[in-house]
Amino acid sequence: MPSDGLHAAWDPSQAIFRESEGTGRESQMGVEGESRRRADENELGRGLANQLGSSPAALLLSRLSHSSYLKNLCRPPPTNKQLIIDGPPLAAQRRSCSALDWGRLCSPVRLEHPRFRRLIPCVISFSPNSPQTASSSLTVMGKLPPLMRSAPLPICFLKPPPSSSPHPPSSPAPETSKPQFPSHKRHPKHKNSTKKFGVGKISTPPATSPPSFFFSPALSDAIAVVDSISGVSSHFSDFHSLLQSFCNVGASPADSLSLLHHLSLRFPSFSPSRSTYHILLVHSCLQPSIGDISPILNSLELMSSSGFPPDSSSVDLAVRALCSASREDDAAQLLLRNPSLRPDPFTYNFLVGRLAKTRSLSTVYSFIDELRTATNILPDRITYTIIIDSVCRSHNLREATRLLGVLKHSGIKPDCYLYNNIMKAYCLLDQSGEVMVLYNKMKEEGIEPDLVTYNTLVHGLSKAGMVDQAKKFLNVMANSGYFPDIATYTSLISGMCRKGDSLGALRLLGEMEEKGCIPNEFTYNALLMGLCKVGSLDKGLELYRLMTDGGMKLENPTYATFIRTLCRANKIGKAYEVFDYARESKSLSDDAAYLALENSLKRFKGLQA
Amino acid sequence: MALRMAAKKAAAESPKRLASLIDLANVPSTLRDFLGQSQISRLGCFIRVWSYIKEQNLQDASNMNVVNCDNKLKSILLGKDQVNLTELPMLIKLLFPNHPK
Repeated sequence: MPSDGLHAAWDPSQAIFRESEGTGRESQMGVEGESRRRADENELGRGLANQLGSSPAALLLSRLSHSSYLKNLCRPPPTNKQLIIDGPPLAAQRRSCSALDWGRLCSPVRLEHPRFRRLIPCVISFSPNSPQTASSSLTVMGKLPPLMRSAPLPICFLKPPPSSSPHPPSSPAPETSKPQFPSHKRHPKHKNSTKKFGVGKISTPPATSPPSFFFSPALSDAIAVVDSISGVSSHFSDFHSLLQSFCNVGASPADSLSLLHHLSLRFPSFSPSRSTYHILLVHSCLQPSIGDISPILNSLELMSSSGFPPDSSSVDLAVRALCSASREDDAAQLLLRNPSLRPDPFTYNFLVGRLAKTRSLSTVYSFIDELRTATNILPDRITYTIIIDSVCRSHNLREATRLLGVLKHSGIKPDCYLYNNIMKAYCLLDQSGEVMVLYNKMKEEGIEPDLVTYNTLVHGLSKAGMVDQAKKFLNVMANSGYFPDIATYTSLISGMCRKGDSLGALRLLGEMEEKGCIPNEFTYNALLMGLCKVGSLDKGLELYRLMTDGGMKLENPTYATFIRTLCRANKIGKAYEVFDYARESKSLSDDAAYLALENSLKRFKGLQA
Repeated sequence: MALRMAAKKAAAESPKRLASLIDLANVPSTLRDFLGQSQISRLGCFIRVWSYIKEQNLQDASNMNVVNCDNKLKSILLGKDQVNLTELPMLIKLLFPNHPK
């Protein structure tokens, strides 16, 4: 975790989940209690809940990615290619977000900030279809956290609280949400007003989804709607939804500002708060006008002149909104030109990460340098980890080594996430022997390796043919409290197969299963290929049957080797069967499968003749 | 990794080979009767013939590598009584026009 403070701050969120295992009522109490505790923290929640009403699942997931015991969720399933992937926790978590759905997330919100945690109950109760979306997104992630696996999905926790209905429930819990949710108070009134209009019955309570008041981006239409609302009820209070809805239909920033003015004219009770201006700010950032940051500057100026000078949350919202509109350059410009806007480390690292992902390395460096001279913000360890990660991804190991020197020079102690990245790069570049050097260096510097380090190490050593050495690390791992997982074993097995010791690999498979580690298709693929290479086709066929029973896919190299071995053993019929299986299981495209088969048959004919 | 790179390279270098496999071609009348369509790729044709063999259980029970042709199959596979599965791709290739190399 990036800092102990953050780590500690996330603990309550785990507590919520634990509570959510209980009965519905209990879990609701948990959520509401949490909300109540934070109700007075700041007023941001409301506006943000409005903005994010459409993405409760994304928000929920982002929270999941925070709790340390759920961190595995975000990790891609271990595969031969991916098993060594791990970034710094922040980068990993962002990756998980982006992998999900950046578009839907579109979040101008600083998700990792503890302050926003209380949003989650709000957002969840805000959207009627959140249980489905949330749970489906959870399954999108591939795995469920062990906690949820044991219990059914905590749907009860995700359900909107019953307080949104007109009959007040007996339990005191839902009442606590009232101060947070003026929208709940609004319900009966809203219903009355619609009845007066004679629109008919509205089956769903309006506040359970972000209400859409407007259907055209024209200012005159919007003003007409506002007027009609003010004519019906003078106690209307959900101005943020109103404003957000107007922004969502595609109004220009100037028009939304005019609407804000109009609102404050029509409703004397309405006093714009910080979150009101944040809506405008985010809206101006989401405009697709690349290169033109004057509307953003205008809205920032408006904030200062209205008595809400932009703080770090405003900066964060702006930067994230800009990035979600692919305006990373503008975000950098915004920070560089306004030294008064001090991004906090989260915003800064987020922006650096985005720049590193989408722009050239020199852009990133010049941004960091310029920001250092302008506002004296220095890159921290996480910044360096992000940059080194992206450098390693582009196979630029020399730069990574140079950065490591710079890092030490500036007095930052590298951690194991950083070294994991560099180690991964060595493996990618087929310089796997170097991982041992790196490991010794880590030891010298007193950095405690973690499971990812060991897995990368075993993978690298196996790849370089030093399987014996890799095996020794199983004991080292066990001594330091890490148990070899499926990635470790798969690396070892493929290393042994590469050496030609497939029967040893088969033994290792047995050992692995004994220890309760269930092999996956990558393990089987590596093993099948190894068995085919050494010519023990009987065992290979046995393994193949296991794979077909489990519906596992064949990888291309494994398939080609297997087919060739079958043809050589004059089992053409079986080879055709494998061809069919590869097509059925969609492991390979038809043409790839056919070409491999045709090649093997041709070669076999050549042997016969 | 290296293997995959090599495979990619090979695929990039032999676009003609892949094209002759997956491009639709006009087929001779004998094959048209068998397939019921006048245009098919070599890959599609191979898959159709192979699935026909499986459907009709034409593989020899004692030797799975050999196919006992029925009359329909005979008409397209050079009139052979027995066809080894090894030569099946080659026999099907004969039905398609030769692409100049």
